Amino acid sequence: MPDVENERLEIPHAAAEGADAQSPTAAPAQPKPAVKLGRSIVMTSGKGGVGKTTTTANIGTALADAGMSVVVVDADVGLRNLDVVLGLENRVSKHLLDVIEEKCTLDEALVRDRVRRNLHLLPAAQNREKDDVPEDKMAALMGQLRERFDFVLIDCPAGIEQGFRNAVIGAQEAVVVTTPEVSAVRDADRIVGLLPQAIVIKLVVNRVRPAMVRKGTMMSVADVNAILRLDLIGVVPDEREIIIATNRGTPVIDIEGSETGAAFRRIARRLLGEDIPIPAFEDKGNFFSRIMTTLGVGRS
Amino acid sequence: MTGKSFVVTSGKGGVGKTTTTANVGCALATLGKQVVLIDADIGLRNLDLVLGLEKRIVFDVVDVAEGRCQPRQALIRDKRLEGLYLLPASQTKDKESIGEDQMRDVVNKLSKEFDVVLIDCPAGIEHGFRNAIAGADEAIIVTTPEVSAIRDADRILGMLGTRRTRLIVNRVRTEMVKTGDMLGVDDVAEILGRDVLGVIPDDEEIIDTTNRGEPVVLDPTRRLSKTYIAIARRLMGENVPLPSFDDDGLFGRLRRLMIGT
Amino acid sequence: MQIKGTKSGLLLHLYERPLITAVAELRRRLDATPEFYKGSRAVLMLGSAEAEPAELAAIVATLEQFGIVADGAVCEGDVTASLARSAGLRLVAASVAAAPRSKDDRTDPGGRSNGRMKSTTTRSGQGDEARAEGAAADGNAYHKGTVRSGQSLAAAGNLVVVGDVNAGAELTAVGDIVVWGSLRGVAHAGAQGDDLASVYALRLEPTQLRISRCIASAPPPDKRRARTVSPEIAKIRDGKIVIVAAEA
Repeated sequence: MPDVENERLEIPHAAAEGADAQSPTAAPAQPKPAVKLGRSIVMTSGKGGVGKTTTTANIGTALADAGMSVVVVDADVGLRNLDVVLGLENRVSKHLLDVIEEKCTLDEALVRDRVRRNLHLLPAAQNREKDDVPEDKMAALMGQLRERFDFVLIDCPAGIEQGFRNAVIGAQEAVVVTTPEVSAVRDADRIVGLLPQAIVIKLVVNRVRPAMVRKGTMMSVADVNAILRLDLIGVVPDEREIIIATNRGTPVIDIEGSETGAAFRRIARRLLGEDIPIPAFEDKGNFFSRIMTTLGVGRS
Repeated sequence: MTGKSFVVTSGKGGVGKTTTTANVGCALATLGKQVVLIDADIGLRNLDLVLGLEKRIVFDVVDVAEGRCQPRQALIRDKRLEGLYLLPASQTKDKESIGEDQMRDVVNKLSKEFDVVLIDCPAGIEHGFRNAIAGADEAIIVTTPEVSAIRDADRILGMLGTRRTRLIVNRVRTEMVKTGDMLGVDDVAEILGRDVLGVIPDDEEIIDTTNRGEPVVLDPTRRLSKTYIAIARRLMGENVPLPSFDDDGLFGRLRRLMIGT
Repeated sequence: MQIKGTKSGLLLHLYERPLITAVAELRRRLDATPEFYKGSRAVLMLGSAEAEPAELAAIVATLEQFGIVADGAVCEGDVTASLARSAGLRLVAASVAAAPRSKDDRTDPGGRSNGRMKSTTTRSGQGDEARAEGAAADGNAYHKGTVRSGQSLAAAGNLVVVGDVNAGAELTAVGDIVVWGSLRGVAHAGAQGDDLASVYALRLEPTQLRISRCIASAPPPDKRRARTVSPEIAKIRDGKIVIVAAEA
């Protein structure tokens, strides 16, 4: 047996990684297309009423303000709302299903925003059923949209049925929206388990009320992400302005001084790759003032 | 005896169906009724969480439908309230695991043993929704005074057939109604064209009690407790006047103009 | 009438009616090698068609004469399920019935008649199954990553998860369950009746624990001794599920 130098083996103590911290993996490598394809992102949640549609509308608007060409797709066949939130319901004539069934062209169905010329809406059909949309045609249409727009944001219906499956089929990325409530987090977790492995998932925690978190009557963002273990790209505070804005069809980001609006703008910038730390929100009466932490309250 | 079955539905998600089902169920039980709550949201169950009964689930509605157990084995008896039972949904299956006929069967079987059957409906208008309404005699639509919710409620009105349908208007913020930033109860009732079974004010308390699995009705000192009891009473046929709220809404104001008050 | 042998015992296909006709055939087959099956367990596949309790009793009695314990039934429907229950047979899911047992089978053969038996359905998990990867020949399974609400994992041997198991998720194993993370969902170890099976977790905060035929829900967090974040083991002691701290 040769004379072997036994070196002392030093095992470096690595920082413990979460067993399943969803790292922002790149989408599976694709052959470089001739036309640069836009990003298709499904905005989903599982639980209804957590703010998917409002989030989709506001992030879409913020991305448009940042110079991107954006189409927001209402995949909620039969219960459409994205048009109302954007204040465009009076301009809707054709819809997604008409395009898929070749009753009209894509251009005839797209509704251009009144203010932002680079923001479009593809409305859902109101009087049809979700089973009417075949998955492969949906995927093909999303592909078409990716050729024309920098961002395709797909507003997903609540639930885990065919409507959900249709919304997911054309997406490469997902933003899971949840509120800091037990039921919402449970449903979000279910959704994560149903999303295809290849999809890159990010998390937005909506309707946070710092005062309640401090009192211990609401989960903190850390509590939420201890369960969901996702890449957090936004924390949105709760404000009464949201209801007023939604009812009026104005994006919240257009409301002066709205912390909620500011949060949506930051989410858009993070989607564009900017590394903005997530602020810790403090409640001062009716105002939320941001306290920027140097480290940023990001992944828990 | 044959009890009556009600589906608690909405169209729009997140308006408070599950919380309402839980609390109205508790309220009915405190009034001495034998009540069973059925969670029809298969794959996204929450009624068990809201009731604080999730740890006692062994069988669920899909097991009953597929004959793996008797309904009685799947029912969870609430230990805090006499007469309140839960038939939970499955979490690991999806809504296609059960059909309308099966649901109807389950509801019919349970109606023979309970005064009231409340069915918690999933959001949306797909398979799960159709299953949930299949066995129901009447419908209760929960809505908030917001455009999207009212629109969705309107949509499902058309899918409920000839069933008696009444409204519960949830999360009403009186100050916002007064400033005209929110629709009033009268407005909502006018748009949807149905009687109002109850009006529930927006209250932060609900979030905490829901998270902790302690329905607010269990604590008679809480303000919302009385609201749900009133709803339960109306459901049982009592003539309990709706609170005035001092909320005028558009139609209320018009009406007062005309009457001259 | 068919008899199939699996690693965990016998599977009897009893779909013919009237069921009593199966008795003669069963006796004939067992008579051919009377000692061969002694000490085995049998799961009866009863299908969905009606039968008389007396007929089923005759089948069970015949098996006992050859030293075979009938301890489970796979039923397709309410009718046969109540039939099975009336004969004291626990209901078993089809895939678990065929699953091989863990190698050291220490189940007490007399376990069926002790007082604490509850009738539970051993779930195999249908629908959205996160199939445990690397299911080895001995039935052990290993999964890396968070098990999400609504997902189920099943193992015919032992089950190891490196990651969290979230509330709403279900784990089932014929043997032990080990979670290198937080166990918040439902875990069923010893699913075929192994009372010596255990559940291990770095953080044991399950919605519900099942070991063999015992079911227990964890006490509410504030009742447990001050929020210990230490590894724990759940096992059966004196007929009940207890949680003990894992010793170094």
